[in-house]
Amino acid sequence: MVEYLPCEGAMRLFIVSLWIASKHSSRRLLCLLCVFLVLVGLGGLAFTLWSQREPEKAVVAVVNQDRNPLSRQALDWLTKSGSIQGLEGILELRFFDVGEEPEEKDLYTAVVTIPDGFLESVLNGTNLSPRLEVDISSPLEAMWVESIAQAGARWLTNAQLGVYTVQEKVDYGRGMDPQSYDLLLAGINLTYLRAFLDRLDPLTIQQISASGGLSLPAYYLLASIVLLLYAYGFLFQPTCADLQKFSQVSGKRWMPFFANAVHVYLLNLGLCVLGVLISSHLLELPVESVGTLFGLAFLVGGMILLLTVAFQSYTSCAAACLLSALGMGACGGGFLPLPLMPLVFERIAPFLPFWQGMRLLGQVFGEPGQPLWQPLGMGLLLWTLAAVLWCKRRGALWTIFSGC
Amino acid sequence: MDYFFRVLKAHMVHMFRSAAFWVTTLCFLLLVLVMGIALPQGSQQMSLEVGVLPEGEWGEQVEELLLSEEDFRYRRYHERSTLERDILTGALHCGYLLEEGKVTALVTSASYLRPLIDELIFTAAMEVDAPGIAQKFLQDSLQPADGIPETFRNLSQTEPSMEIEVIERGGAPLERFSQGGLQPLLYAVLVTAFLAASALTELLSPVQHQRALCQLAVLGERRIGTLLGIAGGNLLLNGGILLVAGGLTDLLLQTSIYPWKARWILLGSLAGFSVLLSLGITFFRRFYSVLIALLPLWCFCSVLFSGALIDPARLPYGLGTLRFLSPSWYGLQILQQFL
Repeated sequence: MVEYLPCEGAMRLFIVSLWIASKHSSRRLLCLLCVFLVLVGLGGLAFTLWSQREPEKAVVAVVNQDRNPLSRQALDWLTKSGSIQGLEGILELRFFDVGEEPEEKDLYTAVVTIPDGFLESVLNGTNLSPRLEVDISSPLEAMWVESIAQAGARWLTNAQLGVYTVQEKVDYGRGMDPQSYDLLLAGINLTYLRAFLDRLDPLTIQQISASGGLSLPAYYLLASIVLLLYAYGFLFQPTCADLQKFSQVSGKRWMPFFANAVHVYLLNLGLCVLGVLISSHLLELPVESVGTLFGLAFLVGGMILLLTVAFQSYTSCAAACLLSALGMGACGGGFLPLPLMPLVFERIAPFLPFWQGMRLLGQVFGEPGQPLWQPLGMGLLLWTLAAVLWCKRRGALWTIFSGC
Repeated sequence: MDYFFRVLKAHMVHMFRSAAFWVTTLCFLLLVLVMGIALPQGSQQMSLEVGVLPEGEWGEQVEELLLSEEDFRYRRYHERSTLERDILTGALHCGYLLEEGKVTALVTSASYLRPLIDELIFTAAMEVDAPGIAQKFLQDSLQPADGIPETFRNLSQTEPSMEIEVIERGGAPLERFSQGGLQPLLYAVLVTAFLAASALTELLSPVQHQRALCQLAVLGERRIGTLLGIAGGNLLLNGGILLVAGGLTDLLLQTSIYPWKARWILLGSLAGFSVLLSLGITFFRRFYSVLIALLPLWCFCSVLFSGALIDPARLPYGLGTLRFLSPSWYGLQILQQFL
């Protein structure tokens, strides 16, 4: 039989229930905080090690046997002018002059030998072939070196053909002033040299990432916050069960429910704020939208309240929270970013509270989000279901584990 | 012997009637299915394929030259979204949008060969542009500039080109690529998930059932027989579940880097270990709230210290020794014995 208290009595009941419930749950939530800090610590160490993995460089010996002094100057200029600076991440060049040889060829991925008279052969068009010895026991590095060498050879060939084309078109200077012809040749050579030096000017590099605007560590940190909030929702279950028993015994239906609901919401809001502060500090990300935290707490609180009301036993509630959180995480991009998963998961994800929660948390840090009605509508549905189950006194699902 | 089979049968009947057993089993098999479907396929960690998306005639000409090359494999794309997806999933090393006057390289943090591929792309671009450079120069110098492309082409066939004399040395090429891609991670997660599911099943099992078995063992003075009956029942059940899981992974993985013997030995060992774990949880059941609270942390650490993501031996502060507490680490060690 339901008794209707005067407003003052009802408010007092609400406040006392809220206070007691918050006190009990917050002690248990310290466990969640400790787990989160351990995960962040270990995850941070793992990402530090991950980023330290560097690809192996190919070490190349360049043996210049060309006695022409201009040849040495040309090589010096080539390496110091910055025209091959971009390759320093994968190639390491070591130079040997006339009469010098690398001590042990096995230490090098490749040995390039520039023959005597090479520069002169380039200028007169006979094109002596440089020798490239590659170590095929390092197939990847050997392939890099060979590719670069072949690319260099093709550049030189095309530039030479361009110069010959100009020479042919002006009939090799017949009918031209010798000085003008020399200037013309110098001009076309400089033009192709300029083209070589400026070859990368049209290049624009665009970094793409499966984790959107967030770095991978940031993505997984935010995913772990949302996942842990859902997974550890069972920590609210004992308080919820106690309030339910009190509600049954006292006949007061709604005040204990509202106290339960508000305590779940407020504590989740506190956890969200804490998570955002820690993330902001660790990742040095600015917080751009604080308002979405209220939406996140609303969504997460709804799911937690539903599960804690549905399952009367602590163990069964824990199993439900863990399995649902892991399942949502697996399908919603918690373990692998959605762009890396088959398209069907991108269609399923928006229906999962985990994915909606992640998007809300991303919006806090300025990530583009989705219309707020989606997570709020989902949250409202969850809160409503929780209220309906509460009214029925027993959740439909708890009877499955009634033996626990 | 009779008693053993009776206990085994009773335990198995109880498990088949238990909703907790079916829920955890289904969740585990679903996880296997989801991971098997979602896992980016590929046996190499680094792809050597490059995607190109030409725009305009210039882009088409450059693309044609690239497709005829042998060192890197180039793949043509018609849509940017498909190109980006293949780069993100690792099917491509990187991609290029080829437009005259503007070349955009689409890269991820793993595209460390991008500077090399840039050179190859722009070498092909130079081949397309070289006649045009000569033509423009002649025009600017007020010299006759007609028929330049034909002259250029004729000369390319008559004049000697620069060739590189390539000599290979060294023994048989060693396999330098990292093997398996994400497959070690898949098996690390499966081992962890299965053990977590076994633990949950045990924790969700009714207390009354445990007490009944204890009473049977004590009153009948058949402790060992009861224990063996329960263990036998769990072994059969877990073995069956792992059989299904193993079949699912074989079906979903296009190519497995681990031989079938290695995989089935792992699953057999896992079945045995899960029985020991279940028995252990039975004895520590009174700490169920602590066990459940630590379960997610244990799952994370088990996968982290397995060696599938990072080498745990390199972790500082002696944390690397924690890998000896990770069942996934032992699982991957078993698999790697057969490589």
